Amino acid sequence: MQKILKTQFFTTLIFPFIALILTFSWFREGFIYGGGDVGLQTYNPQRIFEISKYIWWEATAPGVAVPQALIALPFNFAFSILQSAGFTPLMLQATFFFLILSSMGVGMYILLQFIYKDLPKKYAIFGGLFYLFNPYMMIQVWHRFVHSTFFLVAALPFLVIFWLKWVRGGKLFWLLIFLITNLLALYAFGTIAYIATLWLLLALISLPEVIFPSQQFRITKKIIFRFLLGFLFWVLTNVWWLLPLFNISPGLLSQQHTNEETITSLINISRQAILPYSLQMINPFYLFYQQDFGAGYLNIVIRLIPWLFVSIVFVGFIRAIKTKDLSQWPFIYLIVVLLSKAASSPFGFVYIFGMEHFFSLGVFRNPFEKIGVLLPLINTVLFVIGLYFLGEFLSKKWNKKISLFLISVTVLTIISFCWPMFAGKIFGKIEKAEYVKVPPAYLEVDNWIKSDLKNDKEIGKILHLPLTRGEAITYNWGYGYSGLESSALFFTSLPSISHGFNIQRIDDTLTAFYLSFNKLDDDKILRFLQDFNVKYIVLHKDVKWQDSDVFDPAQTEEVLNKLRFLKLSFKAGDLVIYKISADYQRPRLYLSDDIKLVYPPSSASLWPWKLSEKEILLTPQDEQVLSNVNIQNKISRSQIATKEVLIFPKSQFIYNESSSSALLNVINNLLQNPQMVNTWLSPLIETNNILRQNGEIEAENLNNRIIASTKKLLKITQSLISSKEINKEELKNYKKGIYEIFSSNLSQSRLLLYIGRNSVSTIFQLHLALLNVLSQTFTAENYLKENAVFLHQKLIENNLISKNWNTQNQFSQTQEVKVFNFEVVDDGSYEIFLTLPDEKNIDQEKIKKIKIIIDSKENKLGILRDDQLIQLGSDYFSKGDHQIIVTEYYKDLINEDIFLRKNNPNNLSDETGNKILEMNRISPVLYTGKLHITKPTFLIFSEAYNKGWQLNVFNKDKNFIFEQLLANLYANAYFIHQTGDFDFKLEFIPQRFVNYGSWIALISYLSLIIYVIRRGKK
Amino acid sequence: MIKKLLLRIFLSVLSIFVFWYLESGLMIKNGDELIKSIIFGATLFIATLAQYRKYLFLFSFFLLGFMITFYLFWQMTWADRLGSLGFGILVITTSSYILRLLKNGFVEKL
Repeated sequence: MQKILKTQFFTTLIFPFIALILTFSWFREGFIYGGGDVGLQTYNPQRIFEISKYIWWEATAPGVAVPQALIALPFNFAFSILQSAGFTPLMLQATFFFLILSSMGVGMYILLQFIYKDLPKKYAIFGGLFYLFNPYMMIQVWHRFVHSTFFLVAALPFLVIFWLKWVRGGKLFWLLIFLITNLLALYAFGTIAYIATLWLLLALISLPEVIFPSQQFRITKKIIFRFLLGFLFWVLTNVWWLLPLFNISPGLLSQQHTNEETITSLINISRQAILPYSLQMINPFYLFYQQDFGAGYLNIVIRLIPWLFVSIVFVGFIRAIKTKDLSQWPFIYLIVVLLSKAASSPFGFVYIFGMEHFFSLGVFRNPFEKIGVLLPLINTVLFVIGLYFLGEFLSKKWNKKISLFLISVTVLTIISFCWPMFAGKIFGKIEKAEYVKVPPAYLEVDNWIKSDLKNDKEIGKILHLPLTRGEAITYNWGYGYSGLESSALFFTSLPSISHGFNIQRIDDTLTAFYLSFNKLDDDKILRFLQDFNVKYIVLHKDVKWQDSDVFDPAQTEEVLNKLRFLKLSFKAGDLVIYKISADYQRPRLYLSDDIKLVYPPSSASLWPWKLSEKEILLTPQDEQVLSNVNIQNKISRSQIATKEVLIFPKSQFIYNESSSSALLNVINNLLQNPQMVNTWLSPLIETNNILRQNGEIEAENLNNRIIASTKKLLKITQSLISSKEINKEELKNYKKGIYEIFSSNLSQSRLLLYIGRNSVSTIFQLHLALLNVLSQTFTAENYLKENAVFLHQKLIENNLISKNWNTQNQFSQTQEVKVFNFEVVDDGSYEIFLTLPDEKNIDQEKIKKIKIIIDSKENKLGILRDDQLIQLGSDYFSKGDHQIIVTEYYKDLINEDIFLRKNNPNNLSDETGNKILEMNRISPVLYTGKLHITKPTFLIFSEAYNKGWQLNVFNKDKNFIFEQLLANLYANAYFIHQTGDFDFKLEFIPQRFVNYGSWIALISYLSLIIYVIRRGKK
Repeated sequence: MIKKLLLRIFLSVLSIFVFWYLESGLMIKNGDELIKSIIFGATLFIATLAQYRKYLFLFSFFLLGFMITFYLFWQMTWADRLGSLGFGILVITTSSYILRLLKNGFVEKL
């Protein structure tokens, strides 16, 4: 036995040896790899560990909830120990890659011997090699550089072995080992879809245990019970990250993708996953279109190589069906290939149907990546079965030596397809590797800030300029860097405001913040810096700013050098540090009752900032406005003087309002010449080709519906005119068509990106005009009227016409109008303002021509107030929805806003004795302290707004949880309306899920361990 | 016997609609989907006749072989057509062995 073990051990050493060679080849130049959407994962694991311990990422200021990062904790913990032991980033990354590569080879070797008992060792070795070197591993795993995939492919063979041992034998020991392996590979679930991928595989390998051949009910019951128990323990031991993830992520996902975008991605990805590619496990985008590995892969001989393994896989496929205990693998193969090739033929519509109807399936919008990761494993199993069969066949035909020689040559040929892996050309492009060398200046600056903070304990944030609002940045470093913005990793002592979050409200506010550095305006810049709790500014002169959303750092430097409250404190390399003088810094938590109310919550733009000086911009949330006691009234009753109420449009749109005569002309023409319909609809008809080409299946369907409904309505009209009788069935169908068009959220449809709102609006104005004319002519036909009313309502709801639209409209000719929709939260008289662009000469005469219509009532223009605004007049607005229409617009102003303002004349707040007596930052998710409140006020917390932040104010007698509002368009404010001396606790509540979940996981692990140990002793 | 045959024909015709739905949601874009669905329906019919199944396997591998040829010469539309047809036939044919697999756990003879 010992001998066998020894031999096995030495055989498996082949794979660490190969991994070692590869690692040396990859790191021979002495640089780490990084960039893309992964960034620099192994650059500073200690820092990542510190950050990701909490689901609130304070370090990426102004803060964001990142529950999915919890899964990286075990990895970062292990690597932070190595870092403490003196491992450099290069050694860390090399060690990491070595471990992954070794696990892949060893795991597959053991798995093959486990599932195919008679398999000779050499074939298991061939299998391990094939698992390491196949097109999927080369392109989708290593080249794509997605770390979660590294972990999954390394752990899968082990997970399959331990799971099958558990399901077959029912020994809890194997379940425990499975769970521990899962814990080690937890990083894999950084891609949420991999949870489903893993369980899909486990289900696929468990099911045949019951049905191939079908077992007695007793055995079936046992296996189902083990599966469910295994799943239950998996959930219990992972609940510490599952709970916060599923509590927070659905909200985040819905802010980032729509069903329509998901389907468009799916269709486009499916074109790259058609069977000729997915059978070979090739992603043509990187291999052929971008030619990341060189033009050599276009050569016909090279392209023939993968078909060698595909052919052997099909030999294995037939052999496996005919072999007991292996017959499940062909079925698993078929299912995995069908799922991986996405919506391409055959049977691909299932995906489109699923994603149209189930939003959460959006995580699988790239099935070749998310499910295709199982392809190498399944292919390897069938490949080895086929290879063994061929080997035996050749042995019988010739002899063993020739057979082994031919088999070895075949395997080597197949492996040679992945030559960039051996040559160390796997990351980046063949001509330029994705090397990263972080300039030493970054460390120097980080150390300087650390030393400076020794004398100054006040917490604050570091603002990095230029400030991108995307998530990626490009630097002009020695070897360049283009990928995830990683300042939070480089600057370890304070949170970094350095990039956007793909969350519109925060990104818009950051844009306003960044744009303030475009112009030398001390007060405005200071206001932003204070509101964002900034203490240092780091100017990065090494940013490749051309072709990005930032401007020249030299320009910013000029502004920074002139600001009175900034001191140039340190320079290193291309980095310059400015420190804000202590007198001007504002703490993260402060009290204020100097406020302006801004509506609605989504109105993040530059204007609220431009219109305020030092006041806090407060925005009540929808539910607070809609509740019986409006929060604005509550604030007024508490004697907090609101200086102003600013109401921005909740939506706005531009369209061409057709004149009645123009519409009637078109109708007459179309009725007289029915063949003209196609010409009139040609912009839509021609767009269909582009939509199909771009995979915009939803937009194409919608476009077809609009074309069909227009033709149908004209047909109905023609038959009505000729027969004087209405075809109610046709009209019903027309209404059904219109209902379908508007049930698919037309105003947000991607179709509008192609044909524009205007075209759609014009078509439906024609529908409306036609229906109105017909209903006036055939007055007895209520159907016509009903249809007209229905369509009119839908067009208004979808921002395609104004509320003011009617066939007898006031315009003698077609003209462009801009419509602003407002939601007024409180009755009163409001001034109406039109904003002006910053750097344009405004022609006063043209401005005078502008007309506005407020809820169907035309208003006169006011006077130019200053260089920023035009006051258009004032009016009384009742609580509710209102519409302001601007006509005869001066073109230069087309992108400008209209807003409402209510001024409160007695707006001077009395001096108060409100104070924060003490404030302690216990952790990034918990702040405590003491308050002294003499008059109702607001506590402002300069971290990004999140409903998870809860303020609990208490003393011996009472405990209050105060209402939370949006402050300064991104942060948190709490309305403290009780007076007295209090303790307070400001806590990010979702972190509790992690704490409770950790206990549950710990107890689950311990109970399993105790059971296994006791069972072992017996 | 005739009853069985009629039932097979009926099921195969019905399956054409199922395959058509799985292909394109019962929509016709370029006719491919309907032709493929009819072929898949015919495959299902033949796959119920045990003695012809192995020819279906051969036919599907033959189509996949053609797919490779077209792929090598960058005729991707045809490669995809033939590949998806061949793979679809493979899926249907393999699935027709499920009853035997349920009984024995493997297939002695294709």
